[in-house]
Amino acid sequence: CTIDTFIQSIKVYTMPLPRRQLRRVTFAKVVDFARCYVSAVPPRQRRQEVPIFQTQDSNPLNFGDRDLGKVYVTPRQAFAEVFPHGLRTAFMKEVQSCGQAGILIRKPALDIINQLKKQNRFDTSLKFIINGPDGCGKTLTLAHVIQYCRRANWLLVHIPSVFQWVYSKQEVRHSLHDPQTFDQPDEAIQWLRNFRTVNSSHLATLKTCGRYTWGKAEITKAGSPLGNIVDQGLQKPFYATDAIGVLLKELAQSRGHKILFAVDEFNGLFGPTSVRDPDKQTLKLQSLNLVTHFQKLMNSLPSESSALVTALSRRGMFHNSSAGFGVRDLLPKWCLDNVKPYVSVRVEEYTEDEMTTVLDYYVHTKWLVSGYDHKRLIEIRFLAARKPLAVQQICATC
Amino acid sequence: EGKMALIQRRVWQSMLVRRLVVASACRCQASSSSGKELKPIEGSHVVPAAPSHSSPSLFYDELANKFINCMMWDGKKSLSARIFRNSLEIIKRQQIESRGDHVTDPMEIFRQAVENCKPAVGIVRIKRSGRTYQVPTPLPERRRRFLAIKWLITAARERGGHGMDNRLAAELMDAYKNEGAVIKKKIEMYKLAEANRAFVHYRRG
Repeated sequence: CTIDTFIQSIKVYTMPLPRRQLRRVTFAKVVDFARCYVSAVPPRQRRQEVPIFQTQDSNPLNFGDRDLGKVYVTPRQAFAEVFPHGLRTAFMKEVQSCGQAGILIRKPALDIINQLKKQNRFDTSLKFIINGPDGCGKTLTLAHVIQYCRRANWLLVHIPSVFQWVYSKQEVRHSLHDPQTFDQPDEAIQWLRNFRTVNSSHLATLKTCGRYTWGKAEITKAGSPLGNIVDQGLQKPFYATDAIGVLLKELAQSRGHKILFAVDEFNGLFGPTSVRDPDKQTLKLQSLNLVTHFQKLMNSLPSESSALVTALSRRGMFHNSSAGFGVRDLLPKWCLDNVKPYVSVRVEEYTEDEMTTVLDYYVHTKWLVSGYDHKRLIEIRFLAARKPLAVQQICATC
Repeated sequence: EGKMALIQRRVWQSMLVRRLVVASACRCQASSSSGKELKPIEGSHVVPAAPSHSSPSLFYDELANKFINCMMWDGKKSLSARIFRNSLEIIKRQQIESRGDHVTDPMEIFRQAVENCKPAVGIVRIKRSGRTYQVPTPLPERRRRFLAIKWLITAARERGGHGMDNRLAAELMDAYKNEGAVIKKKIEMYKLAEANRAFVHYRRG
C-alpha cells in the first residue's frame, strides 16, 4: 500500500489509549512512525493471494457466519477422495474443466453443520431433510455437510443417488439369504468400493459385534474389523448386498463413533421402482434388498453419535405427479412417521449477493469466458430466475 | 354525419395504436446488437415491424440464429438450439482443459470457423451453344455464408461419432484451425474455379 493510503487509514483509526497518554501522541508523531515503518520494512506478504469471493482457508471445519456467501475450493483429487462416485453431471463437468470444485457457502448448510457441532448435548439423533425447488443446490448443500464431516473424521455412509438403484437397468438376482427378495450385485459392489475408498481409516478400528456366516464355509467372527465384511462383499458379488445389510446393522449398533448417514434423492427409497426381475415383472420396493436395508436403518439410528442428512430430488423421479417440492409432497406419510422427528431444511434460489459472487467465481475459473457487466448480470438473473443450475447452464455457452 | 365521424375516429385510433406498437418494437430492435437499421418506406407513415426472430437479448447472435435454423429438422428449433449450445460448451471445455493461451470464447471460435469456411469464389453453370460450362464467379456475402453453414452442418452429420453436439464441436474446431473436411471442400471449389478460369468471360451477356 502506498504511504498516502496508510496515512489516511490512520486518520480514521481511533486508538484505544487512556486520556493522559492521548495528549502525548500527536498526529505528527504517528505519521513519522508510519513513514519509518513503511519505508524501512518491505510490504507485508499475504500468505495466500485469494480473490475476494473466495474463503481464505478451504477447511470446512473453520467456516463460520463471516464466510457466508463465499466460495470454498477443493482441488479435483481431494474432491474425488470424498466423492468417488461424483455428484450431479453438470457440476462434475465444471469440476473436470476447472480442475477444482467450488462450492458456495450458504445458510442452510451452515445451519446443519452448527447443529451437528452441538450434537453432544442432544439425546435424539439429528435428522435433516433438505428440500427446495429443482436445481437450487440441495445436492451441493449435502456435499458441503459431507465434506465437513469428513474433515471432522466422521464415518460417512453416503448414497450418492438412490434413483440409480431404484430405476436401474442392471441385472437383478434372487437373494441367497432370502429367495423371495432380490439383490443388485453391480450397484452393491460399486457402493462397497466407494465406501472403502472414503472410510479406509475407520474400517480397521471398528469391530463387528456379531458372528456372520457366508454360505456354507466362510465365517466372520465377532470382534473382527469391519473391513473384513466390506472385503467379503467385494470378493463375492453374490454376497455384496448382504454385506451391505450386515454393515449397516453393525453401524446401527455401534456406540461412540460419529457416523453420518447421507442420502441423496431420499424420496427414491419410498416410491415405485422400475427394476424388472428375470420374468420381466416390475419389482416392488420391499423386494429390493438394497432399499430395505436402508429403510430399516431409519428406524434404528444410534442416537448420540450419528446424524441423518438427506436431500430430496424431484428431478429424475419417475411417476411423479406432484407439483410441489416440499417434504410432504415428495415423501409418503408412512415414511414421515418413521423418520420423525426431522428438521426440514429449505434451499432456495440465489440471493443478489450470491449471484454476483458466483458470477465472479465463474469469470475467475474462465467458465464465464466473456466476463459480465451490469447489463449482463441483470439478463442472466432474469433468464435463470436466479436458479443456480440455470445460471451455470447459461454461463456454459458464454 | 355523427356516424361517419365515429368511424373515422375509430380508424384513426387503430392506426395510432398500430403505430405505437410498431414504434416500440422498432425501439427494441434498434437497441439490440443485430445492427440492422430499419428505414421507413418513402411516402408511408408507418414503420415496418421488427422481424420476429430478432431479440433485444445480449446473448442474441444473428449468425448463430441462422446456423440453428439451417440445422433444424421438422421445425424443432429447441432441439437444434440445444445441440448448438452443447457444442459450444464442449468446445469451451476442450479449450479450458488444454491449458495454454488458447481462445476460450466458443462464440469467437464459431464465428472464426464459419469465416474460414466461406469460399471467396463459386461456380455457376452457364449454357453456351449446347454445352454447359462451369464458370467461376464471385459470390455475394449471403451465398458465401450459406455455403459455409451448409457445408459445416453436412460434414458434422456425416462425421463418425456419437451425438450431433460432439460431431459439430469437432467440425467447428477443425474449421477454426483451418483443417478438416469443410476446408478441403472449399479448396476443391477453388481448384475447380482455377481449372475453369478460361470461361470467366462467359459471365458477361
